[in-house]
Amino acid sequence: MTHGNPLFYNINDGGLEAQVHGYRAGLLTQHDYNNLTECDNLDDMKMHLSSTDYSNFLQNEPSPLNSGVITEKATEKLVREFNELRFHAVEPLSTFLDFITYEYMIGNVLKLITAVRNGRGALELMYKCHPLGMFETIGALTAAQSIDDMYEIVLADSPIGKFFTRTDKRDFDDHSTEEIRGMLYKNYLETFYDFVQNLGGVTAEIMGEILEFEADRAVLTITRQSFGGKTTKDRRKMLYPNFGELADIHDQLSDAEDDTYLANELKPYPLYSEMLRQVSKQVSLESLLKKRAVELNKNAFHQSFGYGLFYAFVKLREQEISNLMWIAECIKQDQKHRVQEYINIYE
Amino acid sequence: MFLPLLDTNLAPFCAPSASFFGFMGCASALVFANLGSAYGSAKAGVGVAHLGIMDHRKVMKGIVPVIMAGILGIYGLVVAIIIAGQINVREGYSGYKGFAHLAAGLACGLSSLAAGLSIGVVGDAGVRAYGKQPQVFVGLILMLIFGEVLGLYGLIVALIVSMLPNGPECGKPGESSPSATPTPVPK
Repeated sequence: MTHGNPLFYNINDGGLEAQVHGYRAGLLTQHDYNNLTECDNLDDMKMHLSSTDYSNFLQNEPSPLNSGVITEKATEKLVREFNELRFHAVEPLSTFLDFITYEYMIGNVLKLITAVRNGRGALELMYKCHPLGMFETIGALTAAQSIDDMYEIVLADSPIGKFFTRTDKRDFDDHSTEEIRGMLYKNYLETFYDFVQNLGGVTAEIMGEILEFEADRAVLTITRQSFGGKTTKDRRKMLYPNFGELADIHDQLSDAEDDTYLANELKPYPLYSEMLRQVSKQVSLESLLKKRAVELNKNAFHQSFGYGLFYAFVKLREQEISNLMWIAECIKQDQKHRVQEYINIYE
Repeated sequence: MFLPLLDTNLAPFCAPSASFFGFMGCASALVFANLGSAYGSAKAGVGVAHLGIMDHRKVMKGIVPVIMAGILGIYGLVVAIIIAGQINVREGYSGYKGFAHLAAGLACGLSSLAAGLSIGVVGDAGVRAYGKQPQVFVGLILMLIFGEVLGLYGLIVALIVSMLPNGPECGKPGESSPSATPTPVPK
């Protein structure tokens, strides 16, 4: 009865896996994106989207539409489908799906902390929180008066409390919001990675690969963002997750101050050195990393008896929503020459 | 240990337990070979299902591992039938023959089980890789053949061992065996 055993997997998780394959088949293809990029205004987009899996998701919205509404409604659809999966899931799938939501919870909590730090009311920011990352006590966070209060609430009552380590409390004010986000994300990735490795089987194989890439992606992004020496080496290393392909060179990466040094250190890693080589004014490292993430997520659907495809479904759908927002913004702002810069998922 | 004492001047003793070993050999050939074949078909079959989603035209070529796994069941069937046909207690079925048939059955059955495990794992990963990169096909077939041939070795050894003629001729009166101790002639 170990996880991932072909004889017993389908009893509890087979139906939900089939549902996710169905959602995957509804992702927008190149053909749909071609139609969307040819649109002149957002009402045309609405018409083209009505013939896809999105069908009439915008039918109650008044014209003129804006890209915010499209994104909001598309996210609602994702959340509805995810919650259906979550409702019917049993252990260990339910824990796995919870892990997917923790990332969004971290984002929401950081938003509220930023609001309090900037002295703005946290209540109005609740509407900007990602719906996948809502938890029961998030309302209590908005009532807190100070960061320390918020910290006590978050640590005690929320599912992401375990991603704060004890030492954070003492120098909470020492760290910028970005550093707190980095530390929470690092702890989240490490906990998630341990969880999937314990599950074993196909889940460990696929999610291990995806999470190792996410760890390397975090390392590269943090390193490049801290060129110029404002964060010390130790603070930088504190944010690096302790696994991943680049784990061997974390020391050298924490010393890096420019792209040439980085390219030199990355020579034994063909994937990353190739990516760094392709960075230019038109092509950012971020978009290359996103493309690679999409590839890895697509691979999750090619194996059976593993949970990788639940994670991949959420990530691919998020990328699709991000693409829709990009196309809508380009159309609205009359920047049609840049509309092709979305990241295609399926041919 | 005491069975040779039962040998008479006339003929060596036919142990009745010999047919137990013989039929166990027959059963184990079939059962283990089918286990291997089932595992191979199932695992590779899941891979072919995903291959079909990736590219439906490649499915008929991708079905090769499933077929190769099925052949292992046939090996087991053949050996089981041959062994069963040779268990003839009326014509004398010595312990030697029983053990030989057990060995033959186990050799074929467990070799096919091993071959089935290997074909299943290689077939699953291989056809999915074939879906993404058609050039993989030749390498995949080579790997499958090396896995399949283990079952073939088991079949060959089983056929040879089950037909070994070197046992005692028990149960046929009138021929004395060299191992029989002469009984004292009463005066």
